Amino acid sequence: MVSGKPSNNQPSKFGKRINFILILLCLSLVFLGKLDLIAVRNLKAFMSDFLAPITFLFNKPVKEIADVLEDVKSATSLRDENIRFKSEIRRLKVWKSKTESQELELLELRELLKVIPKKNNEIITGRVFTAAGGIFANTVLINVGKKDGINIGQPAISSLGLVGYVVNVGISSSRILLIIDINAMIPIYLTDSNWPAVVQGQNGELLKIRFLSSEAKPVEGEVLETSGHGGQLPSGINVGNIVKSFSGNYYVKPTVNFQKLTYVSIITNFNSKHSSKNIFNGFAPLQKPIPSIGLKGINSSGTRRSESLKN
Amino acid sequence: MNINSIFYFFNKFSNNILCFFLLFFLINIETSFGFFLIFQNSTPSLLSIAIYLSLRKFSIHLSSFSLFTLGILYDVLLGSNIGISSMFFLLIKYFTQYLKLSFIENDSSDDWIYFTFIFISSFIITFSLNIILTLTIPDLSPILFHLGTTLITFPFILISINFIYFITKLIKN
Repeated sequence: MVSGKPSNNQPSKFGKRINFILILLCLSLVFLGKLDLIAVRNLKAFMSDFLAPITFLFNKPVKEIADVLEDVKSATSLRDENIRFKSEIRRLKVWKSKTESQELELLELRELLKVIPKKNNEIITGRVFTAAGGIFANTVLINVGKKDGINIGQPAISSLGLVGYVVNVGISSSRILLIIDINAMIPIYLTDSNWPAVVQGQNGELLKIRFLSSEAKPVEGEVLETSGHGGQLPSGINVGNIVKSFSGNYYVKPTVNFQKLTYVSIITNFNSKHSSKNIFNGFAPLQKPIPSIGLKGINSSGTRRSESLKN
Repeated sequence: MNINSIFYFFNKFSNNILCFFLLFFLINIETSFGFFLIFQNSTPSLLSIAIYLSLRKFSIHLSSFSLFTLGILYDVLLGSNIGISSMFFLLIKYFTQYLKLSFIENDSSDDWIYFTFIFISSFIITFSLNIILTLTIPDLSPILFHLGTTLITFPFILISINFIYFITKLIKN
């Protein structure tokens, strides 16, 4: 058995003081980081940029091994999957014929109503090179950055739905805050009932639904999409489905599998310029009430004033 | 300053650099474990095991500055609040040093219990700090998984080290 040598590493008075200073430094760094100062953000971006190739080098073989293991695992269930896919194809064919006729109808209706066509998204796709699992944070690094036109606040999507949004940008790498992170809050609406709400990550698998009206009655399996409220994210991006817990509370299961993220697309023509935060230019002076034309003794809401009633 | 003290400082410095790179390698291994399906939500804290074992078993005095820098790098890699992991690593170091000086005998077989105590107390402090910062209690299942896997991994690593040591001793004899 390994035995520890007699210790001669007793911390001196100076060492103890250094230890105390370092703990204080850590605490101040934590709170400084929370203030989201530009200097701290830039330092983080620079360090992410610097560490990106090293991380990629280390993560690549492990990711390959994980993929091989996953392949081996899925090979055992090939027959069952084949049957499932066949039935799925049959179902999708029926859906396809239905949607084709509905699409034509939709186009005609849009033409009739003169609906302004939705702007097409401009996207830049980057490769994810870190795993998402962390206890205090759920973020991923991608290999596109400022030089590719990425900015803070831009939404990140995959083929399945919303992944998160950009929180830090370096020259050649960007960090994406995933929607499962505790700091991520996404304005959504329930697609069946149109009720708006906000979903918040919990650093776990499911998202918490907040600010949902008590009148709303969510249905298990109901699809949730981004509402576009607040102007930070475009509307209509798939977020997840409603699931019911054992306790009877409703949660959201994201459609994106964050463990299998390989490529992520950033919508570059929808950035934080749209947010009300950035167009804030100070407080506007209070407006004088607009003189409205009304009958004598009747207020703006159309009811009779009390003083006129006395007279 | 005589030549011996220069050599001593140089030796200490090179040891610290070597430890720093080894621990940095371990950080990368730890973060890349997230690609495996089993560690989807959280990975075991290999670094805390390494810090404990290096202080307790091998009597390697890890510099506080190295741990502080490693913590910063760890936070940058994971994207968490800068300083939180530094504090965690430093707390593990201080608790281990304190316990080693005060209670633990050199040939103690209760390492797992001591490690559990040190790891959980350091984790509770950093976790509370994180709750204060976010003002929300996160989902506890990944946290419990993280604690569980770390505490399960520890005895395996300890047994492997003891086994290697035993084999080398046998070969030497």
